[in-house]
Amino acid sequence: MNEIRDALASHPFFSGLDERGLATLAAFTFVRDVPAGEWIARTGAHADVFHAVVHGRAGIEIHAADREPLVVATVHTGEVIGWSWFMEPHRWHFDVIALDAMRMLDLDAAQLRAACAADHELGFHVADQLTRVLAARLEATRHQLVDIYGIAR
Amino acid sequence: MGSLAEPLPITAPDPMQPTPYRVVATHPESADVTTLSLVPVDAALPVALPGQFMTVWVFGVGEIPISVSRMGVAGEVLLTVRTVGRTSAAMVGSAVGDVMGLRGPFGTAWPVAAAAGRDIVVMAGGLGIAPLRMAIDALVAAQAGQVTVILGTREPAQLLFGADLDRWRAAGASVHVTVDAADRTWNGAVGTATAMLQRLGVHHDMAFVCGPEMMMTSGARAVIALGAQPHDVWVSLERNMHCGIGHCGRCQLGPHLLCRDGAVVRWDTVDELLEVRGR
Ligand SMILES: Cc1cc2nc3c(=O)[nH]c(=O)nc-3n(C[C@H](O)[C@H](O)[C@H](O)COP(=O)(O)OP(=O)(O)OC[C@H]3O[C@@H](n4cnc5c(N)ncnc54)[C@H](O)[C@@H]3O)c2cc1C
Ligand code: FES
Repeated sequence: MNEIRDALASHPFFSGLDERGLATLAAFTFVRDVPAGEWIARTGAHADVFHAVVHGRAGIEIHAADREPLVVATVHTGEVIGWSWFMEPHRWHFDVIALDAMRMLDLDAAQLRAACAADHELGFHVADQLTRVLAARLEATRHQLVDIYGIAR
Repeated sequence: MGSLAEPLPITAPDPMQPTPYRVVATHPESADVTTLSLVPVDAALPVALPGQFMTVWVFGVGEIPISVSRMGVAGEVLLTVRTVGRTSAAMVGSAVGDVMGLRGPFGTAWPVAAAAGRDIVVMAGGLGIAPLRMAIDALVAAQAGQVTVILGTREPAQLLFGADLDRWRAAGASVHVTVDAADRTWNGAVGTATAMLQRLGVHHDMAFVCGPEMMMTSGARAVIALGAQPHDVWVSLERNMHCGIGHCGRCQLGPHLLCRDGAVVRWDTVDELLEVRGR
């Protein structure tokens, strides 16, 4: 348990949480090693786990019928995979694949949501961190939409 | 507001008179980007500093500003050009032996000397790496401080100057490449240059940023959020240009003429001007 608590405490997403928060999360967190090439999430599937990357690299992919899957973002050491688990309908909007061998902290999403609802300090921490992830993703999407490197510079 | 950066004196004898240069080599860099190597037919123009640009007259087609990508020996000038319209297409499609008229060098330069002993991040988006190339060469050659290079590009096939990236790494720079999208064979990061900067998450004393305006704005703000002072962040702004010497007013941004006061400018002097759409 201490090992998991320490792993949570040293992950940037959870840094700043107090002992109580870390202990709560540690109760439903598991360490998982994922080989390169394994699916972490599939579009439309239930988002019942929140993944925090301890090391390795995952690719967020979109698929169109007439082309190869396209990696539109990578998630790296110290980052987290998505927010679909936090918001209804709790389904993944993307496919996520391990591009390298990875180690992750897997948190049970239902228990994490319940913990956030019961402890608003913990809930605010998680929502605040997720907002940063969302904002960064939104900016990246905006840049990709206008194809910023497309003309001239 | 004062000038954006100290304007450099124009060193060409007659800045409006094109000087003939001959294409001696063409190096395709990607599907639509080529580096031309040009040598003077007679007398050479003055040596360009990192970040300065030339105007290139393609006879019978038009004249466009192009940053100097590198200076070689005996007055050789390397220009890296992307096909955008008629004139740039004519440059990209030119052949060894073709002659073009160059004017310049014009504009301000990256303040490489001011980076000595400091931790600097150089952020480039797409072709924005071209006007930074000589600056990075000088920074890594000086070995005076930590140099981090972050290069963002649309897709792996559009990555420019791969050999330079290896050389800069070997010389001690920390070089990071990120693309907007890729297939699974890409072994690096997918995301914006700003996301890469944030992932590294460290303070830099100084930054040189060049690329599409949206990328520079987001990059400059992110470097500042990590602790850099706004007056230590430099960007390169492109506006349509004509004369290149501060006479015609084509390149105006607010009160500034970017051909003379830029293209390399201090971020804190343009931040608010860039907020206003259409300037
Ligand atoms: C200081 C400076 C340095 C530059 N350095 C380089 C360089 O190193 N390499 C390089 O390839 N290009 C560079 N450019 C941009 C280059 O000058 C333009 O791509 C060129 O003027 C386009 O001319 P054209 O006749 O080929 O196309 P045009 O027929 O003039 O334009 C074709 C289309 O592209 C658009 N367009 C033209 N210029 C730009 C631009 N700068 N940004 C976005 N859209 C544009 C036009 O609005 C038009 O829709 C630089 C520009 C400046 C101001
Ligand atoms: S291009 Fe003529 S004033 Fe700048």
